[in-house]
Amino acid sequence: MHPISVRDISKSFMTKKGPIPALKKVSFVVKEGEIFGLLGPNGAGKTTLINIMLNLLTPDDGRVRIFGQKPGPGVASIINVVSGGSQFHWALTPNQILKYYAELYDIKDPDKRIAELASLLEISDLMENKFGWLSTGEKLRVSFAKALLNKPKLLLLDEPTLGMDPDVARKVRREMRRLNEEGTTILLTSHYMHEVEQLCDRIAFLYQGEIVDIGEVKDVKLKHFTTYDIVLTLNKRPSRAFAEMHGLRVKEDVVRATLDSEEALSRLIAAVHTAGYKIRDIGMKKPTLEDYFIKVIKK
Amino acid sequence: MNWNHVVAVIRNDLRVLACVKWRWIEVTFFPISTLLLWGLFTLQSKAYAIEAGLIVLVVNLIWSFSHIAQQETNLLMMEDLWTLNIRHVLVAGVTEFEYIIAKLTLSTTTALIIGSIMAVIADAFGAPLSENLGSVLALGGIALLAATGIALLVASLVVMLGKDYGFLSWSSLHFFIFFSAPFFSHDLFPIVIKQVSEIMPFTYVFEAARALAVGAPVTTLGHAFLVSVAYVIIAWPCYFLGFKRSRKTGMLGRIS
Repeated sequence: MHPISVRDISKSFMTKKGPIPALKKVSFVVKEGEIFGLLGPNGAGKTTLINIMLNLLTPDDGRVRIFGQKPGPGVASIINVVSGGSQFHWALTPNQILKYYAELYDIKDPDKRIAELASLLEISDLMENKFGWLSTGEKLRVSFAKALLNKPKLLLLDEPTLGMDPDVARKVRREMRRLNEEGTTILLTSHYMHEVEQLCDRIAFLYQGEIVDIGEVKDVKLKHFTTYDIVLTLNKRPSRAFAEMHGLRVKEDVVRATLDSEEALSRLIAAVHTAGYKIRDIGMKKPTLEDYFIKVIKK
Repeated sequence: MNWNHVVAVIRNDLRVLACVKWRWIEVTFFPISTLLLWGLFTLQSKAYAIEAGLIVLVVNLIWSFSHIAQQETNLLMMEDLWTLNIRHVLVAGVTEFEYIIAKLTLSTTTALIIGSIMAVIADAFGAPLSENLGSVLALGGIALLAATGIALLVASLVVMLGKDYGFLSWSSLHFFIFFSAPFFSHDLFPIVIKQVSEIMPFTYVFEAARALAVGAPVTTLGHAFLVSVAYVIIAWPCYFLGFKRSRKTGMLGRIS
């Protein structure tokens, strides 16, 4: 039984200009124990999909199952969510907010659990401040603490590190990884491509309501980028014949090449040595998920 | 029905009320100070029209009592919508039924406490409440039913149409009361409005209140009860349909 199973989900929203499709027959599964990235530009349908998983939106067609069950109160004890724009009552303190949710989730020994999470997310000093006074990053940490209260088997993270300072974001990512290693399945949406690349086992790219790509990060990238760029700084400018023979672009002592494999790189380095040149510096730019993101959108 | 959820929502609303001072002022200061003003007017009216003073006093008591019961239910809900907190509450497994039961319980309790204080004040100013306690309690119960019906209808409209319609929380009762002929018989309305007033939840409640105020026989309680029950019966499915529709249109996702 998959933590998330989405089958042929379609959803349109009615506007003055007529129905606008937000999701078009979207299907995928999130496997147990994985961190699954849901990517796509603004308006791609990510939040629509998450709202369906949270029973805040009914699809027009298709079905979503969370561990084999319909979204709703029946799965509340095994699921939780962090949204970038998460808000709680401005006048309450994080301590009061977390106590409220600990009661709703029926947490045994709530004070201990709240203290653990406050320490982990470094909000112990903020626990008696009003929520409305906290910074964006601090608010998000409170939201994260709320989401971890019930030790969910499935965590939906909608832009979870948006607005966090890099140090705390790194700790949150470390916590995501730790939770995942303990068996929590995570669905992550993020605009930080390095975060997705670093954390996710598999990704789905949602564009204009359709999944245009799905698979392991490296496979998705390989599908779109079969080459990578090399920059070599040599001890002197190579001859034109040498450059033409190896398909190099030369500017003074810097040569650039586009290669299709690591073997091709080895061959190039061997050829440089054989021709009597010395390599002073070498740089390689592998395609990132960000390159992929931009490429898909431009297409 | 998970009573832990209901208790948790009530406890959280009490925490919010403890932190937000203006809510207490709204619930206590305005109704009680208004009643005091009408109480003083009743004393003044002894010289020329005591019945008029007593009618205004008792009707105002029922009006404020109903207003607290209805408005508090909807404002407690609006607090969750304004702060986007409702998303987390629903994700935590609180059902729509548990949620509204919690809001109704707290607002009804608040209305009963403030209403009792107001009733003591009105009695002190000469309203014949203590000697007609049975009728007063029945009238209060019926007014609560009517207020509950309106609160459910407003909740369904806000969930369906969005936070922009939050103003219904504090203004909707006035609409119903305007057509319920609070200080006068609904026979005074033009025929079309009179017909509308006959299906208003408070028309027969106010008629009973006016009779009670001047020591006349209270004859419209049964009619008032039936109309109020009808409102509640109609309002419950509307409340659930409001959530269903909101889930379909995407409004629930947007307001949370």
